[in-house]
Amino acid sequence: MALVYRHITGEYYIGSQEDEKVSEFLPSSFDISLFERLSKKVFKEKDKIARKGIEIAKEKISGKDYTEDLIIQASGLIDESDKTINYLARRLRRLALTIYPELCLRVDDNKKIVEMLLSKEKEEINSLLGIKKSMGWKCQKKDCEFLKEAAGKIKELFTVREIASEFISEKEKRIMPNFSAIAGPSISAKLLSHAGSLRSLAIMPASTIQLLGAEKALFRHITRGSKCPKYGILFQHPAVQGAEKKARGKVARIIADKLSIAARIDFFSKEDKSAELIKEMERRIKDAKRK
Amino acid sequence: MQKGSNPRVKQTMLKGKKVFATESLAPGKSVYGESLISLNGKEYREWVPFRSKIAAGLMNGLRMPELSMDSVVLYLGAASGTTVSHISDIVSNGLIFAVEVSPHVTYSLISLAEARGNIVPVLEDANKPEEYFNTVIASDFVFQDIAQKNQVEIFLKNCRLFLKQSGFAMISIKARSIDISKKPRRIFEEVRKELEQRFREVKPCTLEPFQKDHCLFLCLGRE
Repeated sequence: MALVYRHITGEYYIGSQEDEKVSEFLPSSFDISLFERLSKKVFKEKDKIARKGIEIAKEKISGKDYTEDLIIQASGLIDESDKTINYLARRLRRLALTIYPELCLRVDDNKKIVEMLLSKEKEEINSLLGIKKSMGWKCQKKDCEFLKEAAGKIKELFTVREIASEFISEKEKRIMPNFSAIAGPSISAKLLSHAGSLRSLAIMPASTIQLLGAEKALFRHITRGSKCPKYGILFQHPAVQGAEKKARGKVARIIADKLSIAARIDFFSKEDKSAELIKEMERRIKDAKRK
Repeated sequence: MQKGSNPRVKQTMLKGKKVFATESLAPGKSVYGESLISLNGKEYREWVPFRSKIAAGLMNGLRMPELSMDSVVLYLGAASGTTVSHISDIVSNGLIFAVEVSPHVTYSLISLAEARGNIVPVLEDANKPEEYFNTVIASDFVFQDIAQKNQVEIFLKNCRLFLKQSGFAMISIKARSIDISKKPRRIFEEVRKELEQRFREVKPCTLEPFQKDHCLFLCLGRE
């Protein structure tokens, strides 16, 4: 979309409908003094240029597809709700310790504690844990109600987290089917947020994908000559986790290889070839582990 | 901006410190949290050197040629419009083409443009001037603040197309984004040589202590 259409002969007009097709970009024959003369004429209508420019910018910014951005932000939302849940759950445990000491000591899972506090009465919880005589403080019912309120808020955060991760896997299936099949929804969202966009993931070499998320270590390697990192975010991939320590670098490399191919397929054609890619990847990982 | 050249820029005192300030085009509003100063019944906005590289250059004694009130400015890498707002104050009767590619910062740039009326937001990649060749007109001043590896190349490309023969240009170099492993001073020397091939005069100005490993290059007299 052009705002000021100008031709090499010196004609010009401002922001018309026909300007979609024009782009008289001729660097070899570009003449700055002609352009200056032309600009002087156009400058007289500067108010119109400014108004039209804002209009065009607004149209352009609202007309884009922001699915990638939504995925990136949702992945950030998951990370932050995880952190918040951890903080709040730790405080809740401390709060509930005097009233439900057995529950807080025996159950490690935050989600389970939150759900039990929310849905069950004191006697029920104790009988579920098989306790005849509890060490817990025999408090008034009002105090238990307060704990319930707090637990309810934390449970809401768990729900937000779940909705966000469902959203991510659903959207990823549409815009990056191959990539998310290999890396899994949460890792591919994180890789995407590091790269910035699917386009930059597609033009990245595999070695860069392998080290996404290990920038600090990589730059330490370049500037100060420490050891080169072997993996970044890919460390969380189940195949890397499952490999023994010596083979982890190799496995990360193989996954990054396939991911870079997958990103290119996703960006340029969106055809689903994930089954083939995964088969090939698994075969190579097996080889790598054997050596 | 030499002292007393453009009446819309002033050097003044704020809380016992010397600061530069520009006369506000949209009085009563602070754009990015800067202080508002009133002088002789007019409202001035403090030009914070920690936020704006041009202000940092001015604080470090950089002497820029005059920008008149109806100058045309091409600003590459406008971001959310922190520095752009001050330039818009200075060239109150002119035009600023603010080029920025990243969508999520341009929301505030567009609303700034709406409030002021002399900013044209251009949502294109500064690396591809052919995309906005039909939008931008010949400019008296080209400023670039993009932390990119090939930022000098982008700058020269844009200057060739959009800088008037009588105009001047300025580039802010972030050494850390050109090459992390080299010493900043060496990078600045290389950049200077590259710029001197295209401009008659190149004046460097480092931005310590306001910005780390940054250097402004004022380029005069295009070929």
